Parts: sequence; structure tokens; C-alpha cells
Amino acid sequence: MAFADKLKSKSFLYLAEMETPKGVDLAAFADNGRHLKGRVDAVLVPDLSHAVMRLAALAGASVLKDLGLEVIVQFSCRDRNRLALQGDLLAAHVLGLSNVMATAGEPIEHGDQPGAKAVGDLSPAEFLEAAAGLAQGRDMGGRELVGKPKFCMGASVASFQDAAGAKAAVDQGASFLIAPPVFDLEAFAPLAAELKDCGATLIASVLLLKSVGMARYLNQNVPGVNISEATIKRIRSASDRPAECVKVAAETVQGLKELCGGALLMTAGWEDRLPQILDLATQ
Amino acid sequence: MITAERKPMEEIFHSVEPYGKILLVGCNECVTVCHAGGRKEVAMLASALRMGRLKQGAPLTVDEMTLERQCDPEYAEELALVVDQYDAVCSMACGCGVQTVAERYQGLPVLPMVNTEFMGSSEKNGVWAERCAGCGNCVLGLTGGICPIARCSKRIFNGPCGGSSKGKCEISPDVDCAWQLIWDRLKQLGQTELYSQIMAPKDWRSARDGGPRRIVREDMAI
Repeated sequence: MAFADKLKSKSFLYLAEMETPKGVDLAAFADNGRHLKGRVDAVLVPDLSHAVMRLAALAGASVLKDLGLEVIVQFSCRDRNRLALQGDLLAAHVLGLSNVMATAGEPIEHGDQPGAKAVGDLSPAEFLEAAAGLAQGRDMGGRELVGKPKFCMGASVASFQDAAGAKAAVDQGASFLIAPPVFDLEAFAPLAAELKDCGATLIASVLLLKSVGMARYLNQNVPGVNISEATIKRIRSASDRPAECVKVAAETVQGLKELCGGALLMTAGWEDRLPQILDLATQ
Repeated sequence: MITAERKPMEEIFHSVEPYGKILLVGCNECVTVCHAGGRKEVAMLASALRMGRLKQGAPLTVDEMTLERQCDPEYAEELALVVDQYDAVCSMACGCGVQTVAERYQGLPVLPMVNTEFMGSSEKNGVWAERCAGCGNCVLGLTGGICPIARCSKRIFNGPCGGSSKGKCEISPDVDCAWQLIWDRLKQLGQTELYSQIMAPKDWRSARDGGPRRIVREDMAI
């Protein structure tokens, strides 16, 4: 079933994020993808996330699609102007990748090519407008297209600041919303309640903690993140810490089933753990 | 200098529409030199606003003031004595001046009356042209004193591109090819070896791409 149809089905959706490799050896990437086949409703392929240069999202998404996975392709507004974004949106359609969403992109100086020039021609809101325009057969310059692409559009809640912004994205045509990583279900509940009937499926991100250090780093450096001391203590005192991290993520996913329409599993390089999280989360 | 041009009158009338009494504030620095927002332009715009609003049947009180330098908090402070009497401050300074006044008088709308254009110089009377992009790492010593970022349409290093023809840029016959100018000047200076040295990809962190910039001079701080 296409992802667009799954969004209409009311069932809880499982998504997984898969970073493309930094290079052209696709063995591990494809292997991880194969393990997700039939287990997730879609795989989200980020576009040069954290401003780290790697294989283009469109290429990675195309590889995963060929493996039989439903894919969401992200487009970073940081790295392309409106010509390139529109051209790549058309490319996505031609490649059979109709699920698209934009991110503003993390600051370039946080990445591995800190001297690069940022573009930022369009914001994610303007990206949605551009994609909607293309779907109606016109580009941003008002020129008519030969053949109309079809998109299932999404938006990142973070790119639109808050619930009010996310609702604006829905008005612009987003049919799914990706919320930032949830570590505290109670803290997430008000946002989930506010977006419950907004007309789009709210999908919460679940970031796999990989260590106590990572949890502490997130608490100290990422605004809005509050990983409880109880969780940190639980991971620290576990005999098998990575396995405990997997359990924590799976429990968060289970808790989210009461709050929103789906979970996006983010494993930041530990994509091989995705099946384990899914095993526990779907029990 | 920072160059600017007065906004279209239609836009200005629209922006002051909600107000009955405004203070129109000019700046004695760059915008005076480029004839966009000095004392003379303040007087002209004030008259135009008064007449226009009178014609609309909604008179507007416009008082005039020109600061020595609007981008300097010390001078922006001069408005403190009078600013409470007005519905809004309309600034004819560049964006730096508008923001300095807005930051100082938080409770008051501060509206821009000019569009800030670029850092440039005067080519001849009535003509200003872009000369500096403020990239934070000047290369003029390597490019014959001609900036490829501010003056090449594609902002490329190690140019020219294929669009340079007879010394002109492909975007318009009125635009000089910056790299032609660079080459000509390097030849004149006997420094053509600089042209053959390939410049490394620019580190844009020193420019706006690294986020909003500040200069901190600890030796100057009080």
C-alpha cells in the first residue's frame, strides 16, 4: 500500500530513518534496508543531515525503493535554490519517489564542510508551496509543466516552530507531520493533543540513545530535550547498555501509540538495531 | 558607504496609514551622501506625506529630525526626549539605523522608509555601484583591487566564466565582467602570476554564511 493510503488508514505507522552512506559502498545501507522490508510503513531518507556530506538522498531513496520499500525523501533548503529544489522534486516523481518533505537544514558550520556557502533560498513553507504548484502543473516562475507530478507532502514540526505553524503547513498541503524526538511522553502529550485533528498524521520521532554520554549531551545542548535522570540511570546501571537503549526506544514507541499516528525511529548510525526496536515495540 | 533608495511612495503611504502623528528621522551619514535619507530627503518626504494624507482626508502630523548617525546608540538616544509624543518613528536610515532605533524604543513601531541596497561607491554624480560584499576575508590584494564577489554576477573565483564577452557580462551589456577588469588590472600591475594561481574554495564562515557576525574589540570595551 502506498504511504499516502496508509496515512488515511488510522493505524499506527512505523517509520525508520536511514542515512545514506558517506561514499558509494551500498552494502550495509541496502542490507539494513532489506531487514526493514515488510516491517515499516516507510523509510525516511534525510538530505545531508547535520550538514555532513554523503550520498544524495534521492539516490539513496531510489535504491531503497528498488528494494521494495516505501520511501520519504527529504530536501534540505540549506543546500539548494528554488531551481534545484523544483528540479529535484520533478526528479523524485520520475523516480517514483512521491513522498517528499523539506527541512531548513542544520547550520553548515556544525557539519563536516564548515566553509561551505549556505543557500536558504526557500523556507520549508515555501517548499510546500512550490511542490503544490508543481503538482498543479506550474513552476514557481508561473511556467506550465509538461506533465504534472504527484506528491504526498510532509513537513517537520520543528521547521514550522510550533503547533500553529504545523497547522499552517497542513493548510499548505502537508498530509503528515514529523515531530522532533520525544523522550518524555507527558511533555509531548499537549502538542499531540493540539495536532490530533489537524488534518494530517502526526508522526513523533524516537531517537535511539546510544550511551549515557549522548543523553547528557542532548540534555545540555539541544533546546527542548529533557531526558530524565531516571532514564539515564537506567541505561548506566544496565549490564547490556545498548540493549537497554533499544528497550527505552521501544517503550517510547509503545507509549506514543496512545498519543499520535506514528513513530519515526532514528538510530543515528545504528540502523542495524532497527529490527530489534521494532520487535519490542510491536509486541 | 551603505547605499539606499527611498521606498515607493505607495508602500510608504500604506505603512503609515494607521498613524496620525509620526516622527520622520533621517541620518547624516551614508544615506545623506547617497541622497536617500538625509535632512533634505526627510524634508521632501515629510512634505509629500503631509500633502498626500491631506488629500486623502486623513491629515498626518509629521515632525522631522536628522541624527548624526542612526546606527549609533549614543545618537539614537537623542530621540528619547521627544519620541513618546509619536505613534511611530519612520526612519530614513539604512537597516542598521532602523534596527538601532527599534532596539532602543521597544514599545514604538519603527518603520523603514528606504530600501538598503549595497556597500558601494560613487561612479559619477548620481550613480552608485556595488563594490564590497562584506565577506569578512578580503582578497582584493590578489585580484587587482577588484572584488570578484561583489562585482562578478556569479560571484566566482578563478574566473571568468564562459559568459564574458568583449569585457562585458552575459547578464547585461551594461555590466562589466569583473574578471576582465581583474585581468586588465593585474596586467597593468605586472602581477599576472596572481591570476594563474588557483584560489582555494572560499571559506564562507567569515561571511554571512557563518551566521550573524559581530566584532568584539576587548581593547575598546569599557
